Amino acid sequence: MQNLKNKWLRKTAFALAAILFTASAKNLNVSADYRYDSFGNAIPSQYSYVAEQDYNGLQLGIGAFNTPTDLFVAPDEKIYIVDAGNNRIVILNSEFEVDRVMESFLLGGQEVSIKGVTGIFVHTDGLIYLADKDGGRILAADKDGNIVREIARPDSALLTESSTTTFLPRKILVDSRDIIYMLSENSTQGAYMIDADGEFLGFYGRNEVQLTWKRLYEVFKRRFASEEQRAKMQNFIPVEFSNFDIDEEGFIYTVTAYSESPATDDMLKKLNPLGGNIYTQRFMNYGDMPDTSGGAPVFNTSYTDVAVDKDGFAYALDAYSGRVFWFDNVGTQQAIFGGSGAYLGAFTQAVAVDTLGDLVLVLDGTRGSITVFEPTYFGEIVKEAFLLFNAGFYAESKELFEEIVRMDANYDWAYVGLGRAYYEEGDWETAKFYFEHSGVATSYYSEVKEELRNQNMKENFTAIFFGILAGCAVLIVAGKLLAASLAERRKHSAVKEVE
Amino acid sequence: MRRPGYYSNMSKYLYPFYILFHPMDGFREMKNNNKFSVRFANGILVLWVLLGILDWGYVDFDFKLTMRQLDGNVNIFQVLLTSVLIFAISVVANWCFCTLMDGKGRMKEVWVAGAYALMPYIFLGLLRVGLTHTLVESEAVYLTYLNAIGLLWSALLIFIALMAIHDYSGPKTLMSMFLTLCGVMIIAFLVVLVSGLVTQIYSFFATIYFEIKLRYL
Repeated sequence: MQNLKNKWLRKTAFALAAILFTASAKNLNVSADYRYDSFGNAIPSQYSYVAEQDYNGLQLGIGAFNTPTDLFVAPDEKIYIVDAGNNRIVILNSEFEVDRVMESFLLGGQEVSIKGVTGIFVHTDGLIYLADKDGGRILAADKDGNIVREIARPDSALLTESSTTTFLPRKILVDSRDIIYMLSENSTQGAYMIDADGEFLGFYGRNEVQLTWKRLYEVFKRRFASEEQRAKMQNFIPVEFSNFDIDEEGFIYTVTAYSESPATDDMLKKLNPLGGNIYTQRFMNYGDMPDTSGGAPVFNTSYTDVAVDKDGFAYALDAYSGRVFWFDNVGTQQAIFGGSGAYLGAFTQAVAVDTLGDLVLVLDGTRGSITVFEPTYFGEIVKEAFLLFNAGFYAESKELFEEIVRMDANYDWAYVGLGRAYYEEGDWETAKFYFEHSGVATSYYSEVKEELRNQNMKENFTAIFFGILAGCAVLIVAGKLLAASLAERRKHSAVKEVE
Repeated sequence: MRRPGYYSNMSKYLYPFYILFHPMDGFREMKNNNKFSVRFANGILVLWVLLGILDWGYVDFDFKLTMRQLDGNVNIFQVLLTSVLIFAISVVANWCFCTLMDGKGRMKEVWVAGAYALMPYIFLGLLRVGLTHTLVESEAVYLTYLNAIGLLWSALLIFIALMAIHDYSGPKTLMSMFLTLCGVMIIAFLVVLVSGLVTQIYSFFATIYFEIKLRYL
């Protein structure tokens, strides 16, 4: 089959990936970039991002970090690190040198501890928003550490007291209209929207409970259960967002830590202003495939943070494996890098990810270090190619895709890109070949097939038309002859019967 | 008005096509006038195997829906297992039960009638596989219909064929079909059991042989 022409390669690649998986599961410090193909096989890929440098507090000359909880790159390219254990916020410039360290925070002349802060956001106006989980409040500080605003649980008719509407701010975002989006610990209702005056506006976006046969059976069982039994039964509560990020256009991206399968689109979502998911699931999964080494499949990927760069490419950080999942601006998985371990480019406890220009920064909470990933040549052309492709510049992306395929022959979406370029050029035969070769189920193959069909029809219309006419004529004549011969035989037998 | 034996002079090889459109008369006449061709029936079964192969490996790319089709490595034994072998087992099971239930059919008749009854499914199936190379994704619904028509038509023919071959009433035919299904399962179970046992016995003797060979020879 054509789309498996490189089957040998794929099989070898799969075997390699299998070895790598078992290795990384045992923390043998083996790391390699990989990607899932359209069959759900892990395929080793070229390196898209490589860890260039590791920065910790001692190197920076400000003393070791103690359980840092969040990392944020401000619009002015300054890197803010919440060093919660040391009760300080460290600010680095884009060259990774210490810009300043904020050690005291004053609220009405009184010192405030920020040991419970788990989320930070720096607004374009320079205000530093802190999500103080232990204090149950949101703090907004200016650059000198003076807290100018304190937002506690708002009084609102919309916000009723319940177990799912806690006010324990964990992560925080502010959009261009100064509306604060806050994720609260244990709250499954979505993000809290609070306006500039501290008024509660409502909840924004949330995961839905997915309907499965098991749940349907539970609902059915519940109908026949008594009150006490019902109380013991499991409630269907949607899973809370673990983190979110906002892009330059104001779209909010959310990730979820717990999911039942990699195919759940709750894993990574790009939300529209109504809270609906914009990503159409072009790829078959958002996380690692379930681990079946222990028998039953176990799905482990648990995203702890997401970062979106200026081009809309999303980087989701998996706390379980320390891997960064890289998605393009329409949600197609492009690469998986990073890992779990004690070497450069791997993490003990990955807590936060953010982007600084083309760099990807990952914060390790236990080790207290920031790892800087830099795109390789391959990563750069992948990004450029898919930016062009997703924007509809197919012809322009052709050379890039050719380069990608040259460097990584197993890149299935690159073949789709190539096919799309040939489709644009009108070379439908080649386009059809590449769409099939990619193995990705896209509608392009059918489209190009239709074009080819129409073309064939136009070119060979006379032949087809007269062929059909001739066929009809032959059928009619054959039918007449057959009927005649049957009638003849029937007459014979009738004569025989009479005899 | 057609009297019985009207088409009795029709060629053995054209007769199955007459049955397709006149199953009630056709199967009854087939039984009464001994008008069946084992060779033709076997030809149909060969076509079934061909359909299995084509449906697995030669559907056009945009109609490949299952992982099996996408993988594209046709396993001929699996195709045989799911077509001819299951057919043979069903025929045996049906004959076994119907002989006990006063069925008039012989095994040869069941075999031939069953194969004739599968003609719509097989021919429409071959047409379907061929059409995947011309039709596009938005026209997939025609292929779905083609498949559904083939299946329903064949199911109806099987029912009528068994009714005629065994000279059963409708409900009794349904009953016998259900029992046939059970029979197929029993036979499959026995086959698995026996093959498992044979493997174990073989490995037992093989172990003894190697033990002796390695120790004393």
